[in-house]
Amino acid sequence: MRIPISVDFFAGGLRPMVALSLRSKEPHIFGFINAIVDTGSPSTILGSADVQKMRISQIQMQKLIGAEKEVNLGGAQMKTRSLPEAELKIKDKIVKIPVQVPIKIINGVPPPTIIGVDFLLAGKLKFFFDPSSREAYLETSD
Amino acid sequence: MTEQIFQPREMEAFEEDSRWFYKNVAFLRKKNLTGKFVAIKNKEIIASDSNLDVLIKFVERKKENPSYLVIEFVYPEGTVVLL
Repeated sequence: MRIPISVDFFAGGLRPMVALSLRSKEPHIFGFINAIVDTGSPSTILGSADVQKMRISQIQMQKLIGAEKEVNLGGAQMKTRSLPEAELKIKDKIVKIPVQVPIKIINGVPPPTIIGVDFLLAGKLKFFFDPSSREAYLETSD
Repeated sequence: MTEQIFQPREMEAFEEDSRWFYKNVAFLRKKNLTGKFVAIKNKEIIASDSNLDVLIKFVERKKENPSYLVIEFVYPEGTVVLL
């Protein structure tokens, strides 16, 4: 089954952009977000604007697990911790993975939300991107 | 503390608003929204501010849940975000 993804001009170039919902039970978080599918990123990382818009409080931040990780992305240097069981839903496809949440921006402009290779791996998804025809999709194995 | 009651929204509406945003970035720049965050509902800008906290508080005062809305930053023309 193919899940179409839009190809839009965003922040200087054509990007595969996907709208998805994010749900976590503990800490309780829910929201709709736009993300860039980036096969250059091994991890899925929430953009700090999305962290703010989903009103993730300091108390919820304390429920994030794992050691602080230093991440360099898009010229930004930040520290993240893991949201352990985030449920990401695109159309009818649900993928449960840990998502990195920025807890501190050390340097630079924080990047948008990134869907990384971990999402494709966990969801057993293939990713097709043809910027010249502005076509992109995720393909499930079922 | 008073509990805020927000209107629920569907994913399809969010997707529509997202598409509208990406298609209309040049139009938003002409409206002097460069360098600002914008909140979009039903293909309309319902709030804008260069400070995201201020924008979110404004949206909540309008009884909207920011989690369900498209909230995007309007990058200046020529800005390239490398990932």
